[in-house]
Amino acid sequence: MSFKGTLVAAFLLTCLFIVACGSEAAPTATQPPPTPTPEPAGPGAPTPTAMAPSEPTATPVPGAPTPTPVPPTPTPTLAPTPTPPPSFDAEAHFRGKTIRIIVGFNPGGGTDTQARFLAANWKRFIPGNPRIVVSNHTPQMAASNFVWKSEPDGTVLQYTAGTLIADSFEPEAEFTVSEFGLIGAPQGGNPFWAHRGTLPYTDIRDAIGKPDGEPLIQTGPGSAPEATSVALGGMMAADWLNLPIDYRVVAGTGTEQTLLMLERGDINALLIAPGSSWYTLPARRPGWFSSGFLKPFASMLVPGQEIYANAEIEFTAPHLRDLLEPDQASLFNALTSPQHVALKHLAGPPNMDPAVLATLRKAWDDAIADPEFNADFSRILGTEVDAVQGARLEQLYRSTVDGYREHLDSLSEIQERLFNKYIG
Amino acid sequence: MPDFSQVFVGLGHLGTSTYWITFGAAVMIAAAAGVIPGLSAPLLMALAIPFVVFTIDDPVVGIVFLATITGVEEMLDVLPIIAMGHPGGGQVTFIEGRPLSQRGQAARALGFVYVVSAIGGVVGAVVLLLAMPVLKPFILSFGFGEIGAMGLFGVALVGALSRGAMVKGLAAGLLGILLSTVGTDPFTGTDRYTLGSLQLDSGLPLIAMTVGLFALPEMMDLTMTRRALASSSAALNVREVFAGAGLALSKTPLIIRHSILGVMMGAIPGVGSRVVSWLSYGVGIALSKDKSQFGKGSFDGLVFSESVQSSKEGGQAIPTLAMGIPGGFSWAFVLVAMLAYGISPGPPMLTRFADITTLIVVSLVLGNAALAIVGLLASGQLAKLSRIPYPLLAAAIIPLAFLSSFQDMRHWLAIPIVLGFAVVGMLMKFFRWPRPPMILGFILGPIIEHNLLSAVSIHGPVGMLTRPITITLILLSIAVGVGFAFLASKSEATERRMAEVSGNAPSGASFDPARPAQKPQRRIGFAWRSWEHLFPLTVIVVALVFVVVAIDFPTRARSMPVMVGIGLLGLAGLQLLLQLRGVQSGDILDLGMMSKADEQRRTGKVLLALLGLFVLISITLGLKWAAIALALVFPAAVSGRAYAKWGLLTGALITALVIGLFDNVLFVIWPQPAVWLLLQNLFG
Repeated sequence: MSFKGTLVAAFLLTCLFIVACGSEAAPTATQPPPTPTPEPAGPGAPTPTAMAPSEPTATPVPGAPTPTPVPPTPTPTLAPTPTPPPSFDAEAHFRGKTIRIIVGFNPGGGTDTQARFLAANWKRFIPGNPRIVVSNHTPQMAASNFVWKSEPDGTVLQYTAGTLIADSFEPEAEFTVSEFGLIGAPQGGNPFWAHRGTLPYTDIRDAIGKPDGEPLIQTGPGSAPEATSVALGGMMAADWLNLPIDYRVVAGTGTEQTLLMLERGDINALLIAPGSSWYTLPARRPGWFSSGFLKPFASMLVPGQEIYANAEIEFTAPHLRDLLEPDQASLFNALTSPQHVALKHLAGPPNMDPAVLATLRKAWDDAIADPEFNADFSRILGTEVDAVQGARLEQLYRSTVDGYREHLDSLSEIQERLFNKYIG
Repeated sequence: MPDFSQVFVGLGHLGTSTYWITFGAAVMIAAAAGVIPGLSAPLLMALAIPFVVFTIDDPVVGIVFLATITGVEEMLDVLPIIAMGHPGGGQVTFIEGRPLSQRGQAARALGFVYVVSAIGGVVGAVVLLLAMPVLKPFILSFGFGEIGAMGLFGVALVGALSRGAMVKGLAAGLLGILLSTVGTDPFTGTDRYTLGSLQLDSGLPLIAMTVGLFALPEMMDLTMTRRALASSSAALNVREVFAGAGLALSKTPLIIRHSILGVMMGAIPGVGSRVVSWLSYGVGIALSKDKSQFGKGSFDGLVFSESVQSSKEGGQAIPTLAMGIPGGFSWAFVLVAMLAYGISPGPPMLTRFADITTLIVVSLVLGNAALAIVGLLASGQLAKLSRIPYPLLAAAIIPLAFLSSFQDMRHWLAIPIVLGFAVVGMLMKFFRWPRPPMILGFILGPIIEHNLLSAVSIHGPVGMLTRPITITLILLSIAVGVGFAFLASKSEATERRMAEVSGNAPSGASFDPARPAQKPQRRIGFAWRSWEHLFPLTVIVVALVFVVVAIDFPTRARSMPVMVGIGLLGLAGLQLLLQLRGVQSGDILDLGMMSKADEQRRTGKVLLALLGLFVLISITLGLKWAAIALALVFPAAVSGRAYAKWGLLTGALITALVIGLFDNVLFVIWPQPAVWLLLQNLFG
């Protein structure tokens, strides 16, 4: 065979491989997906890729050196956990087994680091003391699809970042988010709006009804479908309250890049997506709040969520939801909450044996209640643990998905109108 | 002003055994990550973070442990490049290092590189110490526009990497930029050319792409020679290693010049680690009087590549420590540890936490020196790896290359991407299209697109051009581009005159690194000469498809692929026209075919059969068994039955790696064999 013949044959071989491998891998997917009925992706279903916060790499800690420490005060109150039925021998079920926690990001990010912490420290709360390992399976959508199709025996779990509800409306989603076996989440979301101290506003109340005032310039979406989460919330608020805002469309809006843009003066306001930034900023950028370089403009929380003082200042700005008319607030909550409610959480496949799920939920609650585990987890999270129990998470997800679906028809029209008005 | 009492507290750690044990462990981890293909320091650090934070109580020791690994992680990765013919991530070093190994100078090259890296690392550490208090304004002055303009400057340097084939080089560069647009557009969220694959949302994987385009063709070519990299008479001993070290010391001013460049590029967040070697190489060539030496085993070329690799770490430490912005991927882990220990970045790093900063600087200097000494002492023996017949090395390295590509992407799609780009790489190598501009274009594409479009949004098109650094870099890019075009046309005219006098024509099928530059030849009229016309034709089709598909994208998502695609259409069309007219390009800056036609015929068939076997086992039994099987049968299949025992060794090596690292450390989820999936679908 000539060399050219060899090349042609190699090319054909490659094509053969592509054809032969042309399906998604699912090594442990021995069980057919139970109810493969993902929420319909409506015409304006969110595509959170560009505006979604990039996987954070920094996992700071409270207690960093600060001028006037005001400790965060979320006080988790865990409801009593339903215990597994006595007939179920949890110890025998998990003894000698390996639990694999699937992470939809590369090693080293915030989600991965937290999952590795759980792998090392959570197992002692599970009867039978099983081995726990972390497997990275990117991207997160693929990880969620993988877990959805896995054996529901409690040996494959997922530790996710917070876009799962929005992800479930994507065409690639093979899962129904509220049917995952939700075990627990370490914290709630804290989306907020902040502005440089040089702007002539104390907070949002000073800017209402001043569309021609000095604008709050922040990063914005590059297309209408990308207007989701806090970006959409900010536009809706500006539209209803006549706020002076302007946008800059940039590639990738991870927190680190946005903070650098603020420092460079490219922008003068921040719409911080749900996460721990409010509590961790004092450690990452000491003095920004205490010196007045950055001020809280408004909280973007939906009902049921609260924001407390961080290590430098109290959150004195109002909740946006309280400034809106009831129908506006209802729409605001429904359309922004999919990204606000679901944060990092631990979940298993659907249709888990209730006894196995109860065992894992109890193990989660026991771990959170353990002072040593709680303190160590706080170091990794960068903020106090503000745990959400599995059963509560399930309720939250169901109501959020229902509310979102109810307003889905109006979403694309709203996104289009606001995008054209503010960005174009 | 630094707090000197804290500085002395930091230096006090040098008197404790804890520090030295931790330092030794960090150096050993960095050495292992550099020497063992498939391992990387960031991967090891990611696994180690929770362990470090919760088991090392003293934050100074914990943070310095991670910083030391980061600072010296790339020091020893030159060994597989030079002694084993495995390009890994160091394509620039490979371009200059492989010809040196072929000439029997592997030991000298290794000694040279270790000293260059050590000087680079020390320069990086010293600049970190001196510049940290004052460099913040410099970092803040580099916004989107400036970084984008730096990317344009990189494109202008493609001229330096194109040498005698300017049209081919520019076309290859644009092809790289075009391929970099695959994935989700970060402005609009539009999926560009992903064919519905989730795994392509984040773009074509760089590792699989470079393994396919560069590493696999080189390894196949070397295998087809069935010889060792170096001849048995080559001087591979400690004396040669130290001769290389001496040669490096004689080039100290050049090393310092490029090390400072490396620190500056490293200090700018957003430039990225992968581009610094290429930019330094391009700048170095541009400033060199004798440009013909590069790509043929130039020690200066090794300086351009390796000095910046080490010194950039000091640069990347500056935004990490001074501003809390991770300067590079590995430095993000250091930041994670700092914050988990309650250490805030910023001005306190020079006051309250000056002990940590001091110890990081000292550890970077000591780490670079320690690894250089280890490298110098071991290289006399390790260089002898280049005397092992290459097929025996390839038996371990080729399966490892597939496994590394898979591990990086975590999806079976990595394998067809490697094989697909290997075909492209072989064709480019065979038809003498330079691959370095394509890799540089692929790396620079996102830097240019993301930053320039962001800058336009922030400053407006006019406002962007009023920024002094931006406009300086753009003017510099134009000057460099025009300069190279002028040099190329002048060189082409000279070579044409020489060709007319001597009547020489390039052979195209074999390549001798020591051979003088190819002379271009020109015919009158048009002629269909050979298969080589198919390559520019294929590029035209690819560009056309990209442009047509992009028309439906939103404006922000389509501007780059359309502009680049149209440029590529023009250049590939021009190249086709030149080829049809019989105008051949001159010598290119890339490694041509080493194996001869008869070797290609004989071993090529065996290699093809082995790759076929690999694919077959992948889709029936699974990827890891395919890699083990390939390592097992490769030596006997390529070199004869006498080498079957060697297969047991390479098979055992890959098995140990698969079970030890992939299954029990990384807990890799292997792709289910396609045949099993098919059977499952058929029979439920």
